[in-house]
Amino acid sequence: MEVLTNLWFSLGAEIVLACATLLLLLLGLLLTERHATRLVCYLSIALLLVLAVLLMWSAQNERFSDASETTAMASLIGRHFRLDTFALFCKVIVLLTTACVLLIGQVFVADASVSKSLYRFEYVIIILLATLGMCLMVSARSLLALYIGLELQSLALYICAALQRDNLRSSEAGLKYFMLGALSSALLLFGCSLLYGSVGSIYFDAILAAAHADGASSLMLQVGMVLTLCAIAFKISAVPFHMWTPDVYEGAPSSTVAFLATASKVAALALLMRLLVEAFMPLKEAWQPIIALLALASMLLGALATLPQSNIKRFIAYSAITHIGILLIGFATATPEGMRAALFYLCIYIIMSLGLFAMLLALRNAEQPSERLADLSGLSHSDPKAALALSALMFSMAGLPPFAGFFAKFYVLLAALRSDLTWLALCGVAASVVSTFYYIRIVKVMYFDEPQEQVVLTGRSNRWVLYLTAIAVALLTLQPSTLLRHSEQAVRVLFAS
Amino acid sequence: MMNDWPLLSTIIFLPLLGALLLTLIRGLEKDVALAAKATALWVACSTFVLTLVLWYAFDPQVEGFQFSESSLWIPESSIGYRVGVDGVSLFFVLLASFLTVLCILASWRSIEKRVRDFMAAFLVLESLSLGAFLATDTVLFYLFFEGVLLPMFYIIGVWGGERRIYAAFKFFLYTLLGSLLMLLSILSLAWIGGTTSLSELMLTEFSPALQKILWLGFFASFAVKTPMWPFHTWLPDAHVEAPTAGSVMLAGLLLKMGGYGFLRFCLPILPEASQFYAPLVFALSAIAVVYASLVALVQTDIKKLIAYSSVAHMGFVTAGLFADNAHALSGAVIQMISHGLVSAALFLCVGFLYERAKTRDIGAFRAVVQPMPTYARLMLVFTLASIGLPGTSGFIGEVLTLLGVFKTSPATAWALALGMILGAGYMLHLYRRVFFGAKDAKPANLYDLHMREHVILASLVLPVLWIGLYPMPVLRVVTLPLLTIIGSATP
Repeated sequence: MEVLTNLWFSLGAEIVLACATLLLLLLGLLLTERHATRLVCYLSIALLLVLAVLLMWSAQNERFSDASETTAMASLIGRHFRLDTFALFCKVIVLLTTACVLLIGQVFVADASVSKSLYRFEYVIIILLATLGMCLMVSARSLLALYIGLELQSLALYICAALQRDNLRSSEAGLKYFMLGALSSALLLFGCSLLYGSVGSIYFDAILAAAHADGASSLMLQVGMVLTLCAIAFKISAVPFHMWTPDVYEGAPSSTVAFLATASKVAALALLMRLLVEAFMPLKEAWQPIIALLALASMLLGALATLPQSNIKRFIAYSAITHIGILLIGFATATPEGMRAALFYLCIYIIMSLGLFAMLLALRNAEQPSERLADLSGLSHSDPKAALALSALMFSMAGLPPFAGFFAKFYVLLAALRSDLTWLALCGVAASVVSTFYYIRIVKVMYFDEPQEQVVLTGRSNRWVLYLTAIAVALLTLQPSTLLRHSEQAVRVLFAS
Repeated sequence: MMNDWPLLSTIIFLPLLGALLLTLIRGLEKDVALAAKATALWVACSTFVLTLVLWYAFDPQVEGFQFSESSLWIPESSIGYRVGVDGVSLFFVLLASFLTVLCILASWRSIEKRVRDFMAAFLVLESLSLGAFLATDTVLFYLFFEGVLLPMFYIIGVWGGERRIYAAFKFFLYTLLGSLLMLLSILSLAWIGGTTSLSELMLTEFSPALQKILWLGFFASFAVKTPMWPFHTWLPDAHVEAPTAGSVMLAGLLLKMGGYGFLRFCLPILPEASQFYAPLVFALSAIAVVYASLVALVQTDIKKLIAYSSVAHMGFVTAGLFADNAHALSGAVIQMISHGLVSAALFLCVGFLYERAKTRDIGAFRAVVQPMPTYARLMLVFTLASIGLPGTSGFIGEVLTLLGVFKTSPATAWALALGMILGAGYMLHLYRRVFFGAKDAKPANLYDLHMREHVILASLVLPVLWIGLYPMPVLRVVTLPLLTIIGSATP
């Protein structure tokens, strides 16, 4: 009985998600294809929302968080997976993001002009499985759990990227993603084995203890750590492990990219944060410079490489790299404050990205989905509201006040200054000036250029997501402290252990 | 009760509310345009009336900020929504709301496309600049200060001239780079001082070594905004490409934010660093005055000439601000107010001429006085005020500045005096070439000011002459806060 209770407390959401996914798979097989896709999709959105609400509710619940957690943590399953405030916070974000991605993806996958092979209920099932993997990742507390979660989400994402079978680019993207992903998995496994060889245990707390004891002298432990970090850097596409990002983003179906660029980044960054704090904190002299360099390289390369892009998806890929770079500044501080800033940045970044993808997935030029930046020209004439919302998102992405993106950047820079990483903060400033250029270039295309083509946005739900995200980034300025407080609570748990 | 009403917040957010109201207007394009103009005018006028009320209720004998509102906004970082007004910001607030009314009037006919968006952008701009002048919290100030870029970017980019996109980007990115460096300084102040409240920061002592670093961050931002030589290159482009009303706001308000920033941040919070870097500021100001005047002499575009004259006049301001005595400081403040009025008027004059002739090339004009005598008269007043003729506001500002700077750095004062002579040179040269000359006027299709334009320019003549003839009301109000700043500036 106790085993079951512990299992439930550690992995309740995942169990529900897994069972429901299997049920939905059955349901999809029983129905005719046309109905199945729509129904399964909406049921999944409902499922994800319900799970997110339940998790939020359980976060409020005192009884849940205190006593049961300590007993659960001692159990076998509790050493592998832990549902603490941090995991709750990240899981809620992952679930909500996935629900939103499924919603805004509808208009794209159902578009007959895209591909027949996309509009299948299996697509939803695979996304749900990837979400399951992500949920496992954010609460993983052992190398085994980490690997299971990471691989589950990666395999599902490889399939998602190659889902448009009749399209050469999509297949290429899937293959590329798979090859490089397999390489990073190999790195991860090698790193894990070195860690295990050095520590003799796969649990994070054991690694932490070992690192405390003789981490600085153990080369094996440090090499293992570096290899693990490299593998995760691949997942978050930090430079120099970013090579796959632009190609995969460009080739894979946009609905997949929306998922790849948001939910999977949350999970991977959460995993990185937990790993750094809960396992490698005593080795921070070793990993701080690594993360700082990753941050620096990502910011600079991302900022410069975004400039010449003319394809929206490649643009998003490089701009995501820049954002990851700025976000990693928070990680590089190795302080609760920096991690809080990074988590806060992540939330706001996800909101902005969702709005951007809602626009991208709905963008149609002469009935065909469009990916060219130039196609946005004259959007301020044909669709003033969408243009206004999009420019708010762009200003927010650039980190300009009075939008939420400003506060995201603000706290990261503040944390960097406090940790004597002034040089990194200065580089962040330089990168954000350069990146502002290409964000306001989109505003320029929409407002200053003469309209050339008949471009429209389809899909009412996408339009609403676009508006809501724009309103969110504008209103978050008025009350940023709620989100800030939640991220702080989440991060404090990591540092407490 | 009058005292409980959040007057400053009302002043700041009324235009923003008006901008939101504009987006609700529905109907045919023509009706929307008219309704938008009327609404914007009403909102701007109400804001102006409110600022007049503020002036009336303002007590010049009280030290520190008045009408303060303060509430914690982000408790985690002790960032607050803190606004307040003192003698210095009062006049900038008046200037901002006054110029907005004039700008909306001036754009009544000249803006034809997307009228509603234009008016909304203007109201947002007004709201943000009022916020920047009234904020007494560093982060809040930064929010408004940088937020101003967004509406201005649209105003230049959508309604500007031929090279508007280049100008808009240059303006935006140039200013942004400076602002972000200031952000780092603000963050450091917040972290080391433990507060973002201006009045608390003024009481905090920072070590001189730290001050010198932080000062550079602020300097980067304000020097670009003011603009000081050699950071002025964005200004001629932005001015030339912006629509008339945009130029007015740029010269009248946005440039003042630089000087105001020096006055609010550098001098009281970082006094040792301000003294340390004063020679640098003097040198740059002296170069700016002489260099910009010389460049203005050879311009062929009237707007560009006035833009360069702005750089020269702002050189006076920066020199006066760092001269570290009451004369120079009050001179600099008066010079800022005066320049806000005079350059705004000159840009309006150029705009009116451009609407008629569709050119700003000096060579294209001759004997304009004949078809446009009223215009010529009014323009003469502003030309003389720009030169600093006694009896105009420019005189008070320049003479007080010169007086003060002479005590601290005679060499700079000589350069400034030279700049005044050169200023007379280029302004009179411009006036002669455009308004006098042969008998037949060129171009042919000129006609004199009509009622609306006449009212706009006449309403600017009044404060210019008033400050010039009887500056005491202004001086009385600004002196007390300036003495406080000086008090903290001299250790």
